[in-house]
Amino acid sequence: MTCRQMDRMDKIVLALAEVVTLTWVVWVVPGAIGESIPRTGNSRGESILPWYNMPGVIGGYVSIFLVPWLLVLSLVIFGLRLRAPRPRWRRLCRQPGFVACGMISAGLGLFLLIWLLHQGLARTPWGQLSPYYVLFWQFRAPFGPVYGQELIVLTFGLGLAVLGAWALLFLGGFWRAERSWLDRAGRILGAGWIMFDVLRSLLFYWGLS
Amino acid sequence: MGRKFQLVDLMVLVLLFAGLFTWYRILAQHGVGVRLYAFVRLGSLIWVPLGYHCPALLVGSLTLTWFWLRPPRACWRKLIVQPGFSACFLVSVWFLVRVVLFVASEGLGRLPIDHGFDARIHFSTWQHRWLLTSAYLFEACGLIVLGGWSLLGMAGLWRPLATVADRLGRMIGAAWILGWWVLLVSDYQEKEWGHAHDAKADGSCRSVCAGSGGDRWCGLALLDLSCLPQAAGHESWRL
Repeated sequence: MTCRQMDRMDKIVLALAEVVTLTWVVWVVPGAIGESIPRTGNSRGESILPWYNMPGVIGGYVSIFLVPWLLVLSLVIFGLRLRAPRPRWRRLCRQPGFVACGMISAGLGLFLLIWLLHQGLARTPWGQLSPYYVLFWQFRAPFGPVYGQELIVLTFGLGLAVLGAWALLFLGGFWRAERSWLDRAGRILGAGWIMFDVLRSLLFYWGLS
Repeated sequence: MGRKFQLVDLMVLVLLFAGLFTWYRILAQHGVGVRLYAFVRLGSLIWVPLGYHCPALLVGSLTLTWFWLRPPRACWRKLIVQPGFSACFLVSVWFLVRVVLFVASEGLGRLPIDHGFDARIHFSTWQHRWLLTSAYLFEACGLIVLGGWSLLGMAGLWRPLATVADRLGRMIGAAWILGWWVLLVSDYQEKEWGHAHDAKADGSCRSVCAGSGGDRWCGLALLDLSCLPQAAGHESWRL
């Protein structure tokens, strides 16, 4: 039996995820918005907001509020799906819910790996000469830029990576959706990521036209 | 792909290459800012070869997908497990999604809606707008190919064929991933420039970036200074 019901541990983890997300939204997001506001003027105090496209800015602020929810829940569902009992790895990789959350988690892991690589290199004596130090210098402050805009910007394209993976599964006939709350939640999150990415792209393009 | 080369194939090839050369022409006309900034910034230096390299990769992906999908073709189940096909197919799907979104946004842009700002930047032609947004197209292509290949590998569906088409498709996929990596790195360099200006002690020059993802958009806006006569003379843009 690999299709399990929601148990006490799942509920605790989900509750913790809610707390983390709410903390992110309430504590960090206003800071990220505030961080961006003083930078919207030149030295004479003139607003340069006209340089921006309004739909694009709206898309940015929608992202600030939506990404924490989508990101934390995707990571949590991915982690819970890995708890025993679970199907074999190959079968798991054909479940759309797991694939969606796995894509998001892997994408985020990749970006954080780059960040950690930079952190490690920057601490060495020759680190300041390394190209990583030059190229990733703004990640020096621990979680400073990462929690704010950077992490949100890095999620560009992740929703469409989910769409691509789903297209491969579906067209190849490898789509093995499971009738469990975990796979359903993963599918809902995957669909959320796709819609969010499409909306964000559309708003950005619209603002330029 | 074991079939004769037909007239319709030739027509599609001509169409795709015409699109490629049109793209190059637009890039040559409006990408002046890129070349100017290339002298001072690593990020822009990387943009120059990528700006010419990525459209060629895109045409290669579309061409291969076309030849693969023209009947008679193998069933989807056999095609999807070929990494070369899956890479080209994902890029083609992604390109079509982007085209649809772009056309939809062009339609929305014609609606009489006041965005709230009088002096908002307007990129005068659709070619400008397409060029400015194509960076996202290229960047996401590598990410999507990487995701698709990871999925095939982990699900035990990676079955490369010893054919020219599949090998070429794998090479194109690898080139997309490499391009994504380079764009990611150069993007950070773009941001370094913006933050460095923020950090000036006298506050004489601030970054024009604002809002979520502003840095990234700022980097894109720098792609074509010739279409931004107001921006070129703006204090915030001085180096």
